Amino acid sequence: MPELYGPKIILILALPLGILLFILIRKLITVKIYTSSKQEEAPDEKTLVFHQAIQKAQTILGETQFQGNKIVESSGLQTQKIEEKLNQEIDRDIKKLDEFNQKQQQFLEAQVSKASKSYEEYLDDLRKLINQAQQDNQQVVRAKVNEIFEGFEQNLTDFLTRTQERSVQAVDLELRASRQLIDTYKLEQIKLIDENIIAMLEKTLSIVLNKKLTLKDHADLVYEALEKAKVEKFII
Amino acid sequence: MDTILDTILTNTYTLSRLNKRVRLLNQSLSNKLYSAKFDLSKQGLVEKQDLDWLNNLEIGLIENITTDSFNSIFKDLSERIKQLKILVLYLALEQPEDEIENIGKYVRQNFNQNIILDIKLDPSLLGGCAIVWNGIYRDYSIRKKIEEEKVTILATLKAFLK
Repeated sequence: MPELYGPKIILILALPLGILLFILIRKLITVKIYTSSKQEEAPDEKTLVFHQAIQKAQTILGETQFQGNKIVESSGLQTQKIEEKLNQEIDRDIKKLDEFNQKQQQFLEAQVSKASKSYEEYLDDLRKLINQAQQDNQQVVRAKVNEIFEGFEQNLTDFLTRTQERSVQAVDLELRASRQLIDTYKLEQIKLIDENIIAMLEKTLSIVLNKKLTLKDHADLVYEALEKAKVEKFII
Repeated sequence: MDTILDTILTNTYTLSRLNKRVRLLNQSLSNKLYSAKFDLSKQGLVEKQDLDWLNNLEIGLIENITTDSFNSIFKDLSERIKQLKILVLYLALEQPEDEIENIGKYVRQNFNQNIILDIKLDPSLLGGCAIVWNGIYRDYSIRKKIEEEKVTILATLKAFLK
């Protein structure tokens, strides 16, 4: 880096001088051409002045060239000095930068270790929280399962009790119906037997009365019936 | 015509006897009016009782009947018979004629003079009778009494059997 400064300064200084030189030379050439043309026409005071001017310009040019060379040399020295100064400053800066970097590195390392510590702490806390949450969840699940089992047990008990009651009721109903059926059958059978008895009695009586009752008895029974009809006012 | 029927009804108590006597009268008058030589007594078709009744019938009752009025009279007579009040008696045993006459007299004395009996047999009544009057049937027989006393009879019988 310091090596670049020297040639740069020289270039910067040489460039305007070069341009100036070029312009002057050009002018001189034009003047020369003019004066030569004019000299042929009328060599007089004007051409003398002109020759003087040319000489002065040449001297000025020489001086400037000399000055320029001097400047270049001094500038070269200065650039060397500047370069050295710059190099020194650069070295200083580099040292400062190194120191800064070191400090930064140390700081970063400290920060990193601090962050990793806090991260580890955070992870520990997280682990603890997770464990705690896991235990709590297990407890909740256990409690829920117990609750469900208890509910199920209760429902089952109720269902079995209801089923038992219904079965007993159904059996009772069936029994009652069967008993009623049996009673009805008994009554019907007894009724049938009674009717048979009456029929047999009537049959027996018809045989007996035909033999035992006289015509007069029958006639008396008829009169008795007519008398009853009269009492009841059936025949009006 | 009314007098003919009333005269017939005087000693006729049953419907069958009434129809028979009206038929007999018809036959007898036909014989007389149309000079038919049909002797009812000889044919054995008529009972003695009816013949006696016919012979005892007042002559004045039927002498005014001519061939012209004969049919109309008997037609009216049959119409009048239909309008008579009939008492249906169901008897358990067939009674003789005189007994039926007695029953007929009894009924006319105790109820209505214009009642005519219709005697039917129903041996299942066992005894007594059943009466039908104005379309209503009432049982006054022994069978009915047994039916009414069935419970008592059965209870007595079951008590006896025990």
